[in-house]
Amino acid sequence: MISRNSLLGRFGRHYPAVAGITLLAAVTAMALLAPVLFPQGPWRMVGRPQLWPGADPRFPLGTDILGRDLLACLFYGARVSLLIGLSATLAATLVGTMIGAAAGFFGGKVDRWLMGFTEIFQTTPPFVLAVVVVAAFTPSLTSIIIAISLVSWPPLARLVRAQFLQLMPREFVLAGIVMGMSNTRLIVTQLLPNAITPIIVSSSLMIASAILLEAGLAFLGLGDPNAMSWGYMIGVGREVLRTDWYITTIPGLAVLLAVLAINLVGEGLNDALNPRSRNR
Amino acid sequence: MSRNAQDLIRFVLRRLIQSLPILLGIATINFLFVNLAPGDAADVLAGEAGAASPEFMAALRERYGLDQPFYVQFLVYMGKLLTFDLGYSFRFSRPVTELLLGTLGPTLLLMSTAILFACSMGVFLGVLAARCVNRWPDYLISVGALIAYATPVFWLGLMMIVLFSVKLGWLPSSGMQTIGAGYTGWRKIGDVALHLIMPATVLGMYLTAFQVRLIRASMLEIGEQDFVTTARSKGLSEQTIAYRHVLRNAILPMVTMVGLQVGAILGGSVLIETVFAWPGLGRLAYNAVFQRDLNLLLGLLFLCSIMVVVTNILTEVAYRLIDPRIPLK
Amino acid sequence: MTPVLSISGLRARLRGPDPSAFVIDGLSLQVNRGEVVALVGESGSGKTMTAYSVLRLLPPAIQLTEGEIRLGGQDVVAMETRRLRDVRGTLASIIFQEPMTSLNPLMTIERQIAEMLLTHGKATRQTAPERVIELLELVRMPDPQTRAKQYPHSLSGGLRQRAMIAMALACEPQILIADEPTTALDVTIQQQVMKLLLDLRDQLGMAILLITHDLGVVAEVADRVAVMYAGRIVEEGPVVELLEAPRHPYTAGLLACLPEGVGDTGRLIEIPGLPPKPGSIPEGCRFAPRCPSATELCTRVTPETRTEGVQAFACHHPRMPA
Repeated sequence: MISRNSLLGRFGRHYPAVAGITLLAAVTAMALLAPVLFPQGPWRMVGRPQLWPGADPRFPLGTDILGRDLLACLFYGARVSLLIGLSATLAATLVGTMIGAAAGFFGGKVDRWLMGFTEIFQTTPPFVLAVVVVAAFTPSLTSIIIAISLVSWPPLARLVRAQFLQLMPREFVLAGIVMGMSNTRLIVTQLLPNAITPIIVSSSLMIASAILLEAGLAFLGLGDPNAMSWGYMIGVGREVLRTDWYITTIPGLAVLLAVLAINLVGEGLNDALNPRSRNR
Repeated sequence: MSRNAQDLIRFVLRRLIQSLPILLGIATINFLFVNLAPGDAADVLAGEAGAASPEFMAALRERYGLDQPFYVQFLVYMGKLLTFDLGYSFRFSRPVTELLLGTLGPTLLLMSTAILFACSMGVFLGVLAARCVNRWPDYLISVGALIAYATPVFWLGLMMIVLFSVKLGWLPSSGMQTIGAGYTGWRKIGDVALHLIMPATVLGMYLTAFQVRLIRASMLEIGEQDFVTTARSKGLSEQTIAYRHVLRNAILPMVTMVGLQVGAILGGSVLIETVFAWPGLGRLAYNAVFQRDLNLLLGLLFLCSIMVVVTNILTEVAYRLIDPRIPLK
Repeated sequence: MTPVLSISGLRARLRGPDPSAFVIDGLSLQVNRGEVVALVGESGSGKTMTAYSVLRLLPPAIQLTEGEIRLGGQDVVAMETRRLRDVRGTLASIIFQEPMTSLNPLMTIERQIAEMLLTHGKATRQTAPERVIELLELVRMPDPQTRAKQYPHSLSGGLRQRAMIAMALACEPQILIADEPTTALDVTIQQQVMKLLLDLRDQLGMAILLITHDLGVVAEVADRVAVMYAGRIVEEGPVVELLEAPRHPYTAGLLACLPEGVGDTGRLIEIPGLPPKPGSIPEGCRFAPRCPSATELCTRVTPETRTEGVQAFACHHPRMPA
């Protein structure tokens, strides 16, 4: 039985978070099942172009301007969104944590330089920088992931630094120093575990913004040409927006729901991990 | 008064000087990009000209200083930046600075309208939510904000075009003014305003969501402070208390938020201007992407960073003008 | 003559699952025209909530359940909101313990005082600035012309409290409720502000309901004293008699703490134990667990309030009269 005050219990009573988890599970299932349900891939022309949803029972969501199955595209798009969202977030979390940890741990000159470096990246508008990075190199999954993580790490670095600054004067850290622990060991075994909660929460929310960034890039034509993505689908549908707007609407809704799901889960996590911030 | 004005000018100057290292850093990163990116300007030009004999390439490289050592190129680049020379756009055959300044106006108009819209909607809905806390208007507004967070702005723009331009025919779907109408005076202003409604609303949507949540939270927090009880004891109505006493204090974090989010708004305007064919920096960026015009893109990035720096200074000034507790010194 | 303020049978409780969590439990009190009445008690005795309830300023967590509060003959409890707003500031005003946080940090002193005048139509936009200066002069604000244009943060605590008083008196109320008005101030400033309040009483003739835990202040300024314990008044009487010959053991305990007995927290260190919390009030006399003369009777039967001479008290074993 789950106690009402356990972590899971708190999370479970948070209905929006449960809705978020359910939605997210659906998106994940789409991503995993895409190759099973649509082994021919998303790119093949399978029917008459611009079939409206419901017009042909074989294509419940209709076809796009090149006669591709929108449902298949949607499933494969989930793969790209999740892949890019997760990998970019992972990379940004690693970079942000390392920079923030170093700044907070060493303080002084190191802190000043690292924070100056962080501020440079916080001053450049994230999406514009991402556009420049992807455009400078050729658009590919790798360059997109690099670009998104490059513009996403600064807030996390600031957060980790702030956490470290709070933790540094605490007894258990001082004890570690007195015991002669190495810096790395001190950071990894003493400081990071105590700063992990806010890192988890902001990372989970970062996945959502990464998915939005990817959709924006793909819409501008900066997507991986070999990967079917929701942003690319929106861009394709735009050409026939006036007549066949469903081609644009459907992938957009997918982005909206996926991002909403992650935000809900993130907020639920936040409430479950920081019981103090409940009712805010 | 003149003392205050003097302090203000001194403050702005000091903040500008403090921002110089940041801009220098951005310029450095820009320069690295130019050099890290595969191929250089000569390749681009040669590709353009269709003739790529080694002699021609060498001549091109010499002409644009591309044969110089790395550090010389860097110093030359920095020297040019000081005079706001951002290089040449080989695709548009015009200096980057000229292209940027030509499109800056419409973007500033779009962005300031969007920010104004976001702040006023944020105040209106945030105050409403705080005053109806835990009742249906509050829930409705909170759900709306959650959805606004999750909506891709460019898609929202497209959907609004379908609804308001295609289906209802109320609003123009693209551009900044009716082409060929040749309006002047008030009619021209009205025409631009009509074109502005959709892009500004969509661009401001994300910031609106932030501001609503912020205003709601700070209204609730400030509503519990002692001076609000004082205001109540004076016989003021709840409405007056909310707007005159609480909101005035709740606006402070909202000002900070504008500074924090201006980068995101600039990024959003690249997408929104593309969707609505708004003749500003964003659409220029789209064209630059489309044509792989790296010089132009980097200039754009630099200009955007300057805009962020300037907006941040402006919000700090605004904060200090509203809050007498923080001196300008 | 009707009293300026008359509270009878007032009860207020914490909203929540416990219906017995009373913070004010059957309180009755009168303040006559021009009189200074001190309401004395430890922190948590309910004295501040009593002060707030007079103008219906109780925080949302506390609910008035029973009783009557009459200001100049009008019942505040039953009053509709519009009328209540007219009464606030004109019939009764209130000043608070924390002058540092009681003024809006983003509005000038002048605007905050003028707001009081304008709200109740006691001045126009043209006449308000002049009237504000008069009021600041009345509370002996040094350099009133300059101070009026300043924001609260540039004033010291004592000056802010003067500004609060000027604001509270702007519409010439019949009673000023002062909730620990000097607790947050330096000792020398405390005396200045107290003297100011007394002078203003003499000059303007308003009554003062002074909420305090400091019996030293009470001895100097009050005409009458009401001692509050756990939501009730346990003893009441003219200041001289009550302080010289308290009948209730609690009052005696309070007096024994003088001169330095009251700590920073407002808790009385001479009386062992702590006052009961709302919801866990003992049966019988609420003071019995801490009382030196308590008997078995006290733990069983709640003492009725009785009057002997000029003093009224609620105790089974009162101390001897003087």
